[in-house]
Amino acid sequence: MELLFALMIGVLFSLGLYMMLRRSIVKLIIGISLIGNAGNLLVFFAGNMVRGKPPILKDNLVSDIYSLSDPLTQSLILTAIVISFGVTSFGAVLINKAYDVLNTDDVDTLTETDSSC
Amino acid sequence: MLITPLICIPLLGAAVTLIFYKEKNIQQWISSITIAVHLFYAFAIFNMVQVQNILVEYLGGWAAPVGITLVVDKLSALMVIMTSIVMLAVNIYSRLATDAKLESQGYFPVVLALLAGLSGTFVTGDLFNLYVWFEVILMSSFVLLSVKGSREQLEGGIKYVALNLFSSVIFLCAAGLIYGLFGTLNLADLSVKVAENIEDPRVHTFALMLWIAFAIKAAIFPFYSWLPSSYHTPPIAVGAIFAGLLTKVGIYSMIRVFLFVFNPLPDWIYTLLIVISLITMVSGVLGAYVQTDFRRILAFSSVSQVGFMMLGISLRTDWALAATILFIFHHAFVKSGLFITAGICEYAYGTFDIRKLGGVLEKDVFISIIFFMLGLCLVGVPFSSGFLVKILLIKAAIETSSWVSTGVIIMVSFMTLLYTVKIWTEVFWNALPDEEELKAEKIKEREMSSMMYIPAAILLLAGIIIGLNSNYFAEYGREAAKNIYYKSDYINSVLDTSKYKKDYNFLEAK
Repeated sequence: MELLFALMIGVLFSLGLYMMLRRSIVKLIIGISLIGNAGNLLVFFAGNMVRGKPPILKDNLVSDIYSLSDPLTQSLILTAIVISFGVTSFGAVLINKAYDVLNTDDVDTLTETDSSC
Repeated sequence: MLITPLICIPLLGAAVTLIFYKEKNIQQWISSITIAVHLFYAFAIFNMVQVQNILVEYLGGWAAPVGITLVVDKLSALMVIMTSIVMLAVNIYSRLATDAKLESQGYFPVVLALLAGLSGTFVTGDLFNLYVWFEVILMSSFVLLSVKGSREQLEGGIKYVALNLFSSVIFLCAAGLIYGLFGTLNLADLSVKVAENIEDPRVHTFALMLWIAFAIKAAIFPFYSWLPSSYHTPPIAVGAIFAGLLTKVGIYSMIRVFLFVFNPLPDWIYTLLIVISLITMVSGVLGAYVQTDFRRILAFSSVSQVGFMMLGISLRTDWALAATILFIFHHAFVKSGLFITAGICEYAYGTFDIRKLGGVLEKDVFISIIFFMLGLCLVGVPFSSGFLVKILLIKAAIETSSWVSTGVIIMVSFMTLLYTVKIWTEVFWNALPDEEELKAEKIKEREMSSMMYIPAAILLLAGIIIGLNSNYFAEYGREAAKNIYYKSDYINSVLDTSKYKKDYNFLEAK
């Protein structure tokens, strides 16, 4: 299970990076959202993730607290998912507007604001 | 209920300005009042910190390390005041000079949200909360950067958005992995637990991941390419905020997380950081010298000045850190002030290109004097604010026998003088090159109101005050630095052991 998750996160990261390095700005946004999701999964997995043990305490009996899954990472990625959703939608609007104005979706041609030296 | 107003006041102001979305005048007044109240409150907090040293607030009544903790120590108090003063000056400037299109598209609410995000970053004592405030800052700055939607703004916007989102992901991963390793996100608690496991190579990896995330935000050497290609694109009222405050967030977080929590790391890491900061200083200053656009020179100059701050962090003595803290403080005022003078020159004479400007000294003595004094502060002439911070940094470099960095500091200071003089001669001293040619390019001059001097003068005054009270500020900076290096005060105030036990009672097995 751990190996599966680690592999999946790794694949998502590499896919996202590959997409970010492509020349199209649409692929740039896809890459950013893929990497964002990989990051969320990594955080999710960094907590104590165990099967079938929800973090619900019965009668304050918590002698086996370390065998329960960790609720905090789940709430962390809940925040992170909302943030990355908002940011990605902003990015989508931005590239849409940029395509309208610049008439290109090739990142390599966006050199107007680079320094000339 | 002590620290939260620093965040709530600007958020409330942003909400109220959104109600009056169509009324530009009301928005202006509300935002000015909000920032003034924020400044007043920041001064009140500053005074309280003088007495109590460290203020702590547990959000929702959950004691540390369970809930989110807000902490104000001397460093945070200084940063919050800095933010507020720069924001106030830029607010006055934007009333006079920004165009209607920017203001009708929500400039004022977004700036207030940015102020809330900056205050939140400076007062939080929780790693994940720091990430959230970073995102608040990022979203506001994305909007401010691209809202006018011109060609170059969208281009600069894409570069800025892509790199900063990437750094956010690195930050998030590092925070998650650190939580997985130590089971806590509270910075005070984390620094206790990290100190017990400082030999663990995983800790070094996570620390460097965080460093890379902050270095992208602060525009340190291998990661700075987004800054010169985006900071000159937005209107001056936005550019002054960006140049004055946003890169400082990265440096502040480095101090707070990298020095406070992950200290001491192996020596080779700090040696590497010294090398990186020296390269940042030199490459920024060389970039600044070859540029011909007023704002681009200032943007590259920001890169080199950030190198100075980074150097103070990597030298690791309390005087070096005091130099960094005061450098952040002084540079925020000086750089925003220079951006505003650039904006005034553009407003009055129609261009940012220093080859097409000239003779401003004859036409407008006030702005020339203001630029001259700000330039002296930036370069670090004796009795100016820049002198204080550079002399502290040189002192620290000599004390650690780091001769190369001593030499580079002095050399880069001279080269700072070079590009400042370049602007001075081209824009203010020399006569206008060729009037006929300029008319052909339709550069038109505008009448400006004399009120526009006020924001630049406020920022200049702040720089002069730092320079003239250098004893007080040096001592203050040193105490702030000691709070970072000798962690016990901070940790004891945050982790109140009696409360710790009380709230954990329900976890003890029966």
